[in-house]
Amino acid sequence: MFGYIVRRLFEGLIVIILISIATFAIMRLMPGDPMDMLLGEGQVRISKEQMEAIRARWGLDEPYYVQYFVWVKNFVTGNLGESLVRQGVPVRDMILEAMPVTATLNIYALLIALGVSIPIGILAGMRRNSPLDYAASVGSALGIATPNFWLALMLIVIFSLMLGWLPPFGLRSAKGYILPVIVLATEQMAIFTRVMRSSTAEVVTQDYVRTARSKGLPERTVITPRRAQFVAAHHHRGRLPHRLPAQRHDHRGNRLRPARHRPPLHRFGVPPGLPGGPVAGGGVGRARRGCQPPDRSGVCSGRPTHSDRVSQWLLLL
Amino acid sequence: MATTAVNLKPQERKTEHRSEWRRAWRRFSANRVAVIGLIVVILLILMAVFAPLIAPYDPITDIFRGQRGVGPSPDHPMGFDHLGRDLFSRIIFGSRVALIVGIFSTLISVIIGVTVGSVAGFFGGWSDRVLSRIIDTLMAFPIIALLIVLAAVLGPSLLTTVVVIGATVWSRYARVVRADIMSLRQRDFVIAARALGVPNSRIIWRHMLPNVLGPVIVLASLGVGSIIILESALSFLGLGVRPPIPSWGGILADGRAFILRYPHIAIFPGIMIVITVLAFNFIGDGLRDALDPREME
Repeated sequence: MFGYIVRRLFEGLIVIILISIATFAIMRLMPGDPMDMLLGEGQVRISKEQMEAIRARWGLDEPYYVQYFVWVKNFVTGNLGESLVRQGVPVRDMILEAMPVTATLNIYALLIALGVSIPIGILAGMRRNSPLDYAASVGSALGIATPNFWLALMLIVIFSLMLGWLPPFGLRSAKGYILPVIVLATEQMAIFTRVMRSSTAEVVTQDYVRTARSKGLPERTVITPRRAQFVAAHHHRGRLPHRLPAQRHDHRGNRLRPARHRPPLHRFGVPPGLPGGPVAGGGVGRARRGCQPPDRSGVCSGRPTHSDRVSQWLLLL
Repeated sequence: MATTAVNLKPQERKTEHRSEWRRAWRRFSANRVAVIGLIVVILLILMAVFAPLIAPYDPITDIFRGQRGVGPSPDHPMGFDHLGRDLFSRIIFGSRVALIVGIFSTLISVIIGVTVGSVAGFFGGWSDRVLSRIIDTLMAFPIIALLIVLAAVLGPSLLTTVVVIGATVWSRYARVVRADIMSLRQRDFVIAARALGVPNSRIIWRHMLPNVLGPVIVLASLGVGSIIILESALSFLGLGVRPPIPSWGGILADGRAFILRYPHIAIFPGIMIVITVLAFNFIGDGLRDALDPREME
């Protein structure tokens, strides 16, 4: 493990070096000599000798690799040079000036995105094909497909121009933060929701979740992953509920009834009002859904859902 | 029943190597959302190809001087831009740039990515180490910053946009292909091919690449959408296609400049971008479900 960490860190270092070389190369590829930028195009008249003197002063007459190492040395020691646009202002100060704003905006956006997308993604993954699932899927598809610079423009049109609620730009008041944070959060929200939804949907079909459900644990307990794993750890994989000891407790000490006390099968789908009783269509949100009410033939209309398979599985016992 | 089953069997065996794709197509066509995406993309391609026939006006030369920034009307369903050009025609012609960049950049990046990935995955050792670091470097680079600088260096044009985007976004394909090829290298059929003396290039081309095609196709169709967004971001910043040529990002940039006076200019290109990207993403999702049966229930 330690060796692995060292190796990965070393690889990261190589990547940083490669990035620095690429950045330097691209900068020197930029059209126009740094001299032209410094002087403005043909506005300042100076002699060849003066040009050479300036070049020597800035180290531009050195070979490229020397320039690169000087640049890296300055970079590492925090000297990023001075801005050509805002004359005389060190670039480092400009970056430090912008950093708190960028950080604030992004932290708020991230918090909002996580706060919205995790619960929605989990719920959508649990209740697949429900209206909420569709809404979440449509919303995240739209969020991913919308260019954020366009979304920003549209929000300005709506909230600044038409409604006049929020300022179109500037961070002078707290209101100014709302639009940028929303725009930044939208894209992340869309991606997080998608990931949460698909991973939840995948986990929900796993054996230990089925075990936890068949034991009649409340859905809340099932979806909180560590609890479900804890529960599953008490049983061998695939161990059937009716072979459980007569009286069991879940990890909170709630009594679980033995499986043979489940209601008769014809009452499937009717909440039997057995508090904490294992499965059988009552209490547990998931098993109740799907094939309900079961018609006389016992055949469900429509595509079998996961809960149908849970019910079928239970019928086999 | 029994006879039909007997009759079917030999036929099935004949088409066995094709049935995988046929089944994938059946799964794909059963997916309503994906089919809608496919239809939208086909319509967009038709629109781009037949743009001169569909567009009522010329997107560059037809300038209605008195109509600058006038909003939508029955004759001009999207109104006029800030110079008095018919926005509807410009949007139609703009689909050409979006699709050309989206599709050709994806092609370039797939070619680079698959080549790099299969070399790194197949040969391993030093070539893998070097190529993997290059892939990591590209992944760590903020892609839009790289694009801006490269576009500035090479000068903005349609060709540079296509090449620059294609040359920078291939790392995802390389990663996927490398991982898949590495795991395929251990498989019996590859070892058998090697033992028979099949040259490396033929092993990669004939035996391995068909097996990694699925994920690459999925990634590529999802990639087209993000490349279209990248292209419009570049044009939006004035570094994509040169101004008189209509592109959605460019029209969006015009709209931004006049957002307070003529907000309608910015609305329509954005809607077109969203529709196009959505359509490609739907196809990508449908392909993923169709080509990756592991996820099927």
